[in-house]
Amino acid sequence: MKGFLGIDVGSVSTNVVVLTENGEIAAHLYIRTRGQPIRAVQEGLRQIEAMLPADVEIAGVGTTGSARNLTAVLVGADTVKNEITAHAVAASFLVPEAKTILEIGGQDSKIILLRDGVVIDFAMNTVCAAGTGSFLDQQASRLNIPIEEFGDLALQASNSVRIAGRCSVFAESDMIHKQQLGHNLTEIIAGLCEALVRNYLNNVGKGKEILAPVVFQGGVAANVGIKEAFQKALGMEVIVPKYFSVMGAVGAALLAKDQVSKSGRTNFKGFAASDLAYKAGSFECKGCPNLCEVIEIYQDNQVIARWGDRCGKWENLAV
Amino acid sequence: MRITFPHMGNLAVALESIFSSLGAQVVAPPLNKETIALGSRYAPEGACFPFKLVLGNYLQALEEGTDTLIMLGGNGPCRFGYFGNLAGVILQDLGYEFRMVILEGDNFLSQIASLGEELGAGWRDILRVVRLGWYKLAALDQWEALVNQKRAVAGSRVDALYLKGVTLLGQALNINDINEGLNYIQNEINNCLDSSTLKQTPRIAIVGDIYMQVEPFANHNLARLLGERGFAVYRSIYVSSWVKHNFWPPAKKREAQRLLKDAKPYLCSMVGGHGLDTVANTVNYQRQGFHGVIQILPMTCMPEIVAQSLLPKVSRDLDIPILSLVLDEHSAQEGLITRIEAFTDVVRHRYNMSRSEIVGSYDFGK
Repeated sequence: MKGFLGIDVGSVSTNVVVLTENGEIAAHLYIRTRGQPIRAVQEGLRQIEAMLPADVEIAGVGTTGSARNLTAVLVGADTVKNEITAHAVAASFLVPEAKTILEIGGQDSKIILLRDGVVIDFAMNTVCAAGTGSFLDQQASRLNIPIEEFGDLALQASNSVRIAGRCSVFAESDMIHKQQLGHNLTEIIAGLCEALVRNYLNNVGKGKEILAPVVFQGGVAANVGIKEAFQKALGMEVIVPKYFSVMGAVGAALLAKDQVSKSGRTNFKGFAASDLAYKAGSFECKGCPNLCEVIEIYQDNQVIARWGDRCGKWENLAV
Repeated sequence: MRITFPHMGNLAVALESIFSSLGAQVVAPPLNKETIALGSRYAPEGACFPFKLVLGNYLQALEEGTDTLIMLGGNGPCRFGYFGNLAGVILQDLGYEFRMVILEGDNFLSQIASLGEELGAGWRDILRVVRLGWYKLAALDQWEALVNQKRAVAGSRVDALYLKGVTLLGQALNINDINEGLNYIQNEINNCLDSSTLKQTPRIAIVGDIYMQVEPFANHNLARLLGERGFAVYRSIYVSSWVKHNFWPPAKKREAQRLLKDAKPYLCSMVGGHGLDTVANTVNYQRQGFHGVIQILPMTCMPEIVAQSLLPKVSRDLDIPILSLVLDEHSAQEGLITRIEAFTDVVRHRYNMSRSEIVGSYDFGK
């Protein structure tokens, strides 16, 4: 049976999905990137291979997420696509009637508007990462609560306290002050969820026409407190799809399937790529005053890719 | 006299031509990571990215022994008009000795003339070199506009021709030389095109803050990023078009009236900087049948923030995709490319649909 591999390497998590030819999800995986994308990708490959039925043969690979180019080199990808398009592709496949996608990941949050399954508009946070997964992670660990329980605690609150949502520094100091005043922890967490939703709708969602059905995906969609706060703020039902945490990877797999149907072949290096010795290095190019930081990727001590230069001198150099 | 001016797109070429022809020694260090580091260190934290680049550039030049700093004025419709004054105070506090000359449209010529006199140049020479500098600026801007429009079809060959043009301009001694170079480069650029494919290129317009638009170092060469993805790129402002609209009062008035007319009903007054221009030009580009508009603004730019908050409504009413890009000193391009790629996917898909071809890459499940 043919399978299509989708890999989404983001700031916080690395997600891997294998999609069958019929569009079913044969295996999916969500692991932490922990600042080491190469290791995370190799670990992901190893784990997903073990999860796959023996008769699945990978016929195409797509990568997405902020480390998509790096990952593409490591695994031999057929398509490399930005995470906005990848998320939209996945949502319009798994929730075909979706009109609005709210996506909150580790470092970024986006809103995607779909009409008849096609993206008509989107927005993504540009200068501020307040209210994204890594901030929630940080607060959970400060409060010594497992992130998985964060949302449930918010639901237990009968009331919520007001927290400033505009900036994560403001939010944190508000949380600390309220906690020192003696407010209940569940109420503070509920307040934080509402603050982050307020910030999202007022920043990323500003001026966008949010129509139902609304789909909420990305790692933060695991947080029922945030989901509840969205429902309250929007006054409509918010759907969290079954594979909410790996939607980017699903999109990448779908794009790979599409690409391979055109090209007829895959560049996939095989699961053996998880055992190759990859290494990254960098140097400053002194060729002109731009002083670009050039990244080199080594496979078994051989350079297999370079990027980071503005002029393309290193990127286009045959390696 | 050792003279410097901050880099701002093609302006540097014109100013270098003017001052070196007058006999000054021009010191104009290029923009790079060090510029950003220096600028961010000494500028007020809340200042916009363009100011940090300008200040950083001055610091680099002062370290190379510059004594005269040139800056454009603008009478302060936005912070840009105070860049020269603010940088002057900061640099003085740091203990540098220099003279700051802020060129204002109203008395630009007399300011150049008094610098020229110091260098022993007469009025005739001054008029000649200013005219030559102006022609160089206008020629470069014309080429840049042409390259931005044609890159999608002609590829990197047009960039090579542009660089060739810059060399020709460097050697140009009079306006005849410039015109010859202009014709030559324009013909060459047009020669590497197949006009039938050009018609099938979707068009994206760039609007927004002037500095962010004209300086490729500040905008990560946005025009090229779009061109390489197959889009013809148009820009709402070039330094020469700004000069044309600001140095001659009747032209300034005409342009102001046009902007107010086009921006209706979204915005009906000046909001500083190029905020009104951004709204008006977006509407105008939509009327001209453009397929998408990208607004670029430096973080904390008030006039552009006003425009940014109006653009979603313009986008909905007029049915045109608009992307606002807020840029600051980040050096990793990845985030920028993600947004550009997603935006061009949307624009490309709509374009293909409007031509009733089914080429969309993300219309799965249909």
